[in-house]
Parts: sequence; structure tokens; C-alpha cells
Amino acid sequence: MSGSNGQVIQVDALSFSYPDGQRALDGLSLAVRDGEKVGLIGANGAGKSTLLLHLNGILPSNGHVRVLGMKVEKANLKTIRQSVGLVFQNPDDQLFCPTVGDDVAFGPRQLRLPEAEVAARVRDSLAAVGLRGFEARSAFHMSFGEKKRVAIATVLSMNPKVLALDEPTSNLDPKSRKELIRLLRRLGGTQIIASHDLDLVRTLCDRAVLLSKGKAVAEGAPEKILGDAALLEAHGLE
Amino acid sequence: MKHGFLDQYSALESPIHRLDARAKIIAFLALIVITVSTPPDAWTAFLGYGAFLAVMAAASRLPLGHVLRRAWIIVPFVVMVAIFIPFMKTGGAGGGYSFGIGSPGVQRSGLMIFWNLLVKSGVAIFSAILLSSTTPFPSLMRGFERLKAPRVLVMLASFAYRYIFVLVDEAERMERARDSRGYGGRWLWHAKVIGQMIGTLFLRSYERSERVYVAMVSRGFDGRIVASSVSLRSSERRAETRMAAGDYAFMAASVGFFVALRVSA
Repeated sequence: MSGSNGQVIQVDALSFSYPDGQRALDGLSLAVRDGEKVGLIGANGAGKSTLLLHLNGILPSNGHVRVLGMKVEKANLKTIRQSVGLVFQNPDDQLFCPTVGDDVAFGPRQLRLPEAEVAARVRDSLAAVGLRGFEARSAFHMSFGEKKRVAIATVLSMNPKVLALDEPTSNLDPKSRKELIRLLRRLGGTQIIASHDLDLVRTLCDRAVLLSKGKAVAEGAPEKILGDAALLEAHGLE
Repeated sequence: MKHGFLDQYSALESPIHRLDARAKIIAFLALIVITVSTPPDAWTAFLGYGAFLAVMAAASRLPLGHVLRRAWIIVPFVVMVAIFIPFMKTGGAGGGYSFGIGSPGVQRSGLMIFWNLLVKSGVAIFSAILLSSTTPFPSLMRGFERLKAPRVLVMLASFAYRYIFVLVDEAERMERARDSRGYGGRWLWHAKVIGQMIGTLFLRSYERSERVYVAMVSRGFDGRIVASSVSLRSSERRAETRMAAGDYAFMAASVGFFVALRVSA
């Protein structure tokens, strides 16, 4: 169901300003192919998170964003939100149910899946992030690294085509960070990772896209972009 | 477990803890409704209700101190409201008090109203404490949901439970930040700082609520609330969707007991 040329995400000259007038995206274009892992890098305020919110139709894109060939607009939102799994930076915002099981089941239940299917998806998603049997636990009583992994499980349970992750390694200690990188590699599939963890992008991504002031100013192989000290410095990353 | 104050004892092992949440909800709800409908001079009935609560407390192995401390949070409010009732003049216009100067003072009917309020609120308070201290919160929510309580209410309560911990953490961090910058000085200054902290806490919670909402929307939330807490593991599901014979027996015995007391009153 992907676009004409194997592209799962097409962003075409997307501009966006927040209601307070702050310009977050300024004619940004980006294409992501099926199975590709793309790292979005850029300083704070470069527009990374704003872009991710557009992929899911949280912010209006007026036809400038296509997911799996579908325009991001009201009629397609249900399918698109199922296809693009958005993992937010702070797991406390993403895990809002009394138990981990309820949180992971939230998406599938919104899809009105039968309860047996929901249970199977919850079990599989938790197993995929290495937290088998955590259903009855409460998110509050878990470590930050575990919460991050549960947050990923909450979107895996919707069988997304694309994972969009906002700062997946922020606030993690080195061990949890390493585990999370291993997990993302194991999960495979199309992934869009917004981060200023340059090392994460280098080890995990096929392509790096440098955002600055709402524009994509450079893109290419991670070694090339991340090896260009002058470029990184000019855009607040070194 | 950093904040044990909410669910501290709900995971204890006791016959009461093992009962199905629905059986407990119905029994305690029946107790409250029947108590409220009991005339205040039905002394034996109230004795019976009290005995039921005492037996439940003992059987649940909850520390007595915990139950009393919980009650102590609410009781002062009830007493504050009720304390002036005995002094109200009967038959007079609202707001007339008599403190025994040239008049009979405390009225018997006033005392009865006072007793009525005190004992009935007492039964309700202890019922709520026993129910919430013997049932883990998620099970309690699931019980209410299965009993067809409005989903919006169940969801709101679940959110409150989920985020009260986050909020307490946030307040603690702010307190620490304040103290580390040399919090001190006069009372007026304190009041101002605390006021600002409360304001900041409110703003942060408000912003968090928006982020939570976005997270819900991005997972397909469309404003309609789907039954959110059906149990997940198949073994657990079987165990939880069907109440055991013991649950029915407990429910029937307690409700029957209350009704008998009420009818004989």
C-alpha cells in the first residue's frame, strides 16, 4: 500500500507556524522509503518534533504530507494513526493507564479489535520489547528505561508500518541506552528517529537529515553528515 | 514503590482481599444505601452495621492505625459541619442558635440529627476505606466497569490514580529546588513562594494534560471511550469475568444481613 515509488512518507514543502506565530517548519521536504531508518538531527527548536506530529495528523498539513500514498487528512486519519506509531519523548505522557497491559491495549481497543486479538497483541508487543509478563504492573513503579520500552510497545500493538520516535535515548543511562538501540535495531521496519544523540543516528540509521530553522539543510549517509564538523557547528550540533 | 500512601495495603493476603472487586463494591454500596435509609433511633441496626465493618476490618488484617488515620482525614470535616446542629433552635428560622441562655439550649431533636449525620457518614467513610484498602486500584476500576458504571467516571478516576504519583514527584522536585536555593525568611514570603509553586504546578499539569491527550489521539482516540480495563491474560480473564461461589455467598450474606437489620428496625 506504499506510494508509487516505494515511499512510505512524503513530505512536500511543508510549512507550519504555531498559533503564537512561532515558525516551526519552513518549506520542509522529506521522503522516506519502505524499510529505511532515517535520523532527524538538529538543535532544539529545529522542527524535529513538529515534523513528527505532522506524520500522524496531530497538526494539520493541508495536503503537504502523504503517508503510504494517502493524504494526511480527516478521512484517512484512522488508518494513518494506525500506520505511523508515534513514540513521545516523555513516557509519562504516553503511559496514561493504571496498568501496563491497559496502556499497550489502548490502541488496539480504539481499533475495536476483538478482545482475544487485543490480548495476543499485548502479549506479543511486550515480548518484542523484552518485557514479557509486565501486563499487571503500574507504569509509575518502573524504571525510566522500562517505561521507554513500554511506550514503544504501546504503538507496536497497533502493527504500525512506520515507527516515529522522538528522542528515544534521552535521559537514559548508558546501559539502558544501549539496550534501547539494540531493541530498535531488532524491531527493524521503517523508522524515523528524531534525536540529538548523534551516536545513535550513526549506529542505527541509513540516512541522516539535518534540520535547521524548519528546513532540511543537509542529508546523506550518517558518516558523511556527522563527519562534517563545520556543518554541525553551523547548525548548533557540535 | 516511592509513594505507598495510596495502594499500600491493597495487595495484602486475606479472605477479604481475595474477594472479587464487584462483590465488595456491591456489598459496601448496599451497606451505605441501607444505612442512609435507616431511622436514626434504630440502635440495634447501627450496632449491626458497625459490627459488620469491625469484622471486615479484622478479617482483612489491615493495621488498625491505617484505617483510623485514613478516617481521620475526613472526620474533621464532617464534625465541623455537624457540630452546631444540636444548638439550632427548633421551629425557628434558619440560622437561629440557642446556647442555653434563657432557653432549653441543646435540643433532643438536634442531638438526634447530629447523631444521624455522624453515624451515617462514619459508616460511609469506613466502607470506602475498607473497600479501597482491600482492592488494588486497577481491580477496583475493572470492577466498577464490569458493573456498568459510567466509563467517563471510571476513566477519570484511572487518570487521577495514574497521575497523582507524577504530580507528587513534580511537587517534591520543586520543593527540593526551592530549598536548595536557600528557602527561608518571613511568613509572608513563604506564602508568596508556596502560592507561586501551586500556580506552576497547575500550569505544568495543564501542559502535561495536553501532551497526554496528543498521545491518546495519536493512538487512535476519537473521543469515544472503549472499555479500558478488561483483563488480559486468558487465565486471569476466566478468573475475573466470573465471580466464584464464595463471592456470591459473601455478597448475598452481607446484603441479606443489612436488609434484615433494616427491616427489623
